[in-house]
Amino acid sequence: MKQYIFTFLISLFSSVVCFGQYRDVTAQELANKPGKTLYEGVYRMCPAWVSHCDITNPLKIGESKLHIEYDLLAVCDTTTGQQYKDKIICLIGDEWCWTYGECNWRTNMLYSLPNGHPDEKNYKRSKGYVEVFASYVYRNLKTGNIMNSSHIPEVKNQLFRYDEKTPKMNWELTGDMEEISGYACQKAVTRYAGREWTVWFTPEVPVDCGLWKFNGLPGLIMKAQDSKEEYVFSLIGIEQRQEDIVRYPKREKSTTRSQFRKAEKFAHDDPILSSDGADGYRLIISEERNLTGREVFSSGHFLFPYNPIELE
Amino acid sequence: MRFSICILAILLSMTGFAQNSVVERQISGAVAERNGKVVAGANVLVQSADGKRLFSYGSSDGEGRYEVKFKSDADSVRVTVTGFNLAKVSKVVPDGIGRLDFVVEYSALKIKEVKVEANAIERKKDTVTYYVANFKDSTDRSIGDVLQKLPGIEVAPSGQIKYQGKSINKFYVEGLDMLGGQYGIATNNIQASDIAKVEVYEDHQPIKVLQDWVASDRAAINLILKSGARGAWNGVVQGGAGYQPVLWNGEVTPMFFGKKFQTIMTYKTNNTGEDVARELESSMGMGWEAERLTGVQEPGNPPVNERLYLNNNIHSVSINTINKTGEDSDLTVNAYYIHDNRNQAAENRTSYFIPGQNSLDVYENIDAESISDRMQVALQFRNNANKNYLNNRLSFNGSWNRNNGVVADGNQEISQMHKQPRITIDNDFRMIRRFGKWQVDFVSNTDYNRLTSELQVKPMVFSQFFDEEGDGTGQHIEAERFRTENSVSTSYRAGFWNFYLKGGVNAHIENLSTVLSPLNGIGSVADSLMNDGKWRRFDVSLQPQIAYSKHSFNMSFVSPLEVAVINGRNHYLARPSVYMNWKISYNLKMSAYGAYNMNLGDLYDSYSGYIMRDYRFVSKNEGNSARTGTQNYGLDMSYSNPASALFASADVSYFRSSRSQTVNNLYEGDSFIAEAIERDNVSSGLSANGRVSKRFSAISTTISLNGGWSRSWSETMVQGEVTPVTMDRYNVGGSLNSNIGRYVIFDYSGSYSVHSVDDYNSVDPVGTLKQNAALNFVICKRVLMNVGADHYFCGEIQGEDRNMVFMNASASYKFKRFEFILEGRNLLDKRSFSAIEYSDTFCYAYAYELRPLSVMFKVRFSLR
Repeated sequence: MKQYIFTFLISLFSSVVCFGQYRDVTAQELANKPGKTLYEGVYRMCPAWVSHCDITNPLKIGESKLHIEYDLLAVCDTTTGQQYKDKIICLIGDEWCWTYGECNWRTNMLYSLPNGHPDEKNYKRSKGYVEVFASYVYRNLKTGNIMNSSHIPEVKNQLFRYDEKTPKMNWELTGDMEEISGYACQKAVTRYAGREWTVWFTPEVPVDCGLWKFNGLPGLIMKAQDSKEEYVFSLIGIEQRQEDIVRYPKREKSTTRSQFRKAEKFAHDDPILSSDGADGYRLIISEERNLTGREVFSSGHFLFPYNPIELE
Repeated sequence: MRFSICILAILLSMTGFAQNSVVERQISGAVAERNGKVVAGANVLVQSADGKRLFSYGSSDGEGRYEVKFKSDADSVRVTVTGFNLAKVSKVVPDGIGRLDFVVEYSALKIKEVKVEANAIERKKDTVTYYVANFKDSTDRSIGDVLQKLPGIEVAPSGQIKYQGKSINKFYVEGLDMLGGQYGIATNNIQASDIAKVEVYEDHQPIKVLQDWVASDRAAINLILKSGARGAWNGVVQGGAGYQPVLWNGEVTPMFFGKKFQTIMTYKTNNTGEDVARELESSMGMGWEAERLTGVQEPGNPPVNERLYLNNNIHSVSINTINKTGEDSDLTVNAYYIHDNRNQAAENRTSYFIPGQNSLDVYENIDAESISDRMQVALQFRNNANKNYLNNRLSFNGSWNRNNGVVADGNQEISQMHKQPRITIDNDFRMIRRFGKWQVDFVSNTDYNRLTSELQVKPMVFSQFFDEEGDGTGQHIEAERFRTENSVSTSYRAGFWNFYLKGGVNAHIENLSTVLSPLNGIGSVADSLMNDGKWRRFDVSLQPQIAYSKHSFNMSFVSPLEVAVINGRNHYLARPSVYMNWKISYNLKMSAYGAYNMNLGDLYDSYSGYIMRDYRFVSKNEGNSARTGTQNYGLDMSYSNPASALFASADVSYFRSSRSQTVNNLYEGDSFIAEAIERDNVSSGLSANGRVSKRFSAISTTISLNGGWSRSWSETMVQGEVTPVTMDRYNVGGSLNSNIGRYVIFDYSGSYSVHSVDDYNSVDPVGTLKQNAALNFVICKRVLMNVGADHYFCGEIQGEDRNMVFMNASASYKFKRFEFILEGRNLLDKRSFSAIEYSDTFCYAYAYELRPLSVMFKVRFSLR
């Protein structure tokens, strides 16, 4: 019954938006207006408003040989089409290929530190970047398993973990060549999880794809984009650097891929309702930063546009 | 025959087809180590023979076996085995080979690294960040050179920085404001290589208490140093010598930027035409009419690079420091001393237009020398906390100016001598406190100025004023001014509304005594040649202000009401103004204003005795001081999109001013008398300007374009006759900075302006074009060459000076921390610059003597 009421409320608010009585507000705009009376209407928070997670006590599972950085330009909200930028880090070692969103990681590191800790400044988000990619993806190059450890918006201190087999990707080499950052790259296309991906990879860096869950090409992916250009990864740096590859098992809650996807979709459509449980936290926008908390949202006022990288 | 050709063609095409047919082929084999151990998981690539194109690939299985199917039309293919930990092995084999085994070795991964590159420009909220590395090239020495290239930022030749067409309000280095308005010291002396980022804070309110209360439409600039330059001594030591005449150029600029302490010290000297004093002196608030009353006849500065004409000998030393005394407080000291000697020479003709008569032409051959010593010591304490603000700046200035000049007009030589010592003491105080929703702001500015001027002209001029003969004519002036301006304002905030009320009490006391007399004169001086002016002005003002600020919209309305008592007479003044500013989006902003301003004149438009301004110009006033009412309206828009590196802005403004005084220009013989009389005089003007700049990062090019138009309507009075005057001016300009490949950097800037005057002596549109181009060649990392040319075109001049071209060139060689520079200036050895300029009442044609061809060698050493 509750579900139906909220579905009704969501559609009611959506219709209000359609009639233009209220305006949509982006997260950026909201963040820039501290201490001001909030707008009425539906808040389309975009990109994902990441839940903080305490990631102290990491578990080291390996070491990297390569540190690779990509800029990710993503259209999280297809209604506005606005692009948001995240930085993607990919650490490749002998056993693991670990891909994660740096902004999300930094936010979590910051959250894990006690208030006023001198290291805080090291974990401020890089300028111009926001949390879009809220997952830690570990691809085991030996066993062929992938561990996903992901956030769900507004669910605090919880990572949702599910394992899957490395997907088989059928690559088609188009024969097109392009030089990117001094590397000769070759274009290849495949279809995966509901998107047509086009990538440019270089055999000069002899790793198996690297980025995210991509696999089956004899070289590092320098650029990847889907056909709608909703997710565009471009390499901005490669360094030979030894770093620890770590997991955060303390916060992980095991689930399955299909369960996770359901929960994620629900959390985007109605974060208030989905986070109303014990572990979640209500959306509070403070009137004067962190002073007097005031609840301003109710269910349906608030949604995270849902346009995940994996559509299927 | 035809048949056989046909067969041949078919055969040929068939063989061609056979050769080019794409057949599926297969290569298989094994990958193993030298000792025979199988290697699993190695990549096997089948590529074109040149290794550029990948046909197909596979990998070795658990037994080290591989099998790759591919399609190819080539004679041979390259088969390569790679792996994360394998040394790459390649073999070029003829197409059709079926089996190919590989022996590989394990080895550490080695790749060419790609350094993480940030975007050139980023925006976060109201902060736009420029990453200097993306804009800097090897020709840039100071950060000022780089600032010039940043889209959206303009650096005027005076060193003043504008962002989106508006002057910046603060210049910070690492968040500290050490230099106030004298930020030229920083932009000229901090090395570009020490700066990592330039941040622009848009709509910056520098006073923390006022943030969120008082909107600002000005931007501030903050320089972020590279980590290595922080907390270490930097700077440059430079020395140079050259010829024609004997030239020298030296500077030492040690500087230190720490968290709690920053300093920049400079010592600079040269006789090569660089005005190194400009960066030290502020033109703001120093002007005083008394100082401009007298002078020797000097030619105006030509609009060319000052190195071409400035004949100087200058020494300047300055010390600037800032100490952070607390979390929000700091103490600043700025001090300088300048000794400057300049020589000017020009030939000119001034034609005064007289209604109904031929113009009056005055020919002059001018030689002028000025020797000047100027110093300042300023101390400033500031506490800029969230709930209160306190600022006190105390400064002492002194200047000792001596000028000499000789004017030859064909018949005789007139020598002039001018001395003018001046002292200024200035104290500015401001305190702001916030109590809940209330805020109190107290401002008190006080200054004292004193000068004496002595102008002596030989032989005697303006003899019609004197009864007796003398060696010459002398003008003596003593002036003294004391001002204090005090105000208390309070503001209250309710929701989106802010209410301000300001009460002020000002006093302005000024004395001016002047005597115009024959030199060596004995008799008494007539009253008409003397002034003993006393100005006593007291003001009480009340200034209510209402401001509204919601989301992205700000508006304020202010209407000061003032009672001024001047020498015992009461005057009532009002100055209402309204200002609006709307942020349509983060990229697009709009603002509009309207204002009415009433002003009362001063001692300098009400003295009634003649004052000799220069050897052929005297002035006096009749009646009361002037009363001016001015209306101003304006609208401007700015667009800044850092993502696409596109910056644009446009503005329109209108003014209308009415003044109760008109100056009657009287010409008697060669001399010129300006008499201000009581008569209403209206002038108005309209202007529109726009500018666009864009960076094309793919081709490392910044292009800026600007254009403007203005028209003004006024009245001019000559020999008692009034004529309406319409003046038009439009200008277009552009600049381009481009890195052509890696080795050539090209800079270009040009502006064309047309000026026309329509009055009793209508002047047809006069066009002038000014262009400057420079080519820099980066021969290798260490060797740079530069060739530059300036072109001036003045449509009014006939003959060879219509187009004037100047050239210069330089070469530099960098070795470790040294840089050796060889410079050649005015390579075409052009000895004079000619131009014609028009105003409503006269035309001024001149030929200014330039510096000759010169060669200079400099050594520059970077301290870090």
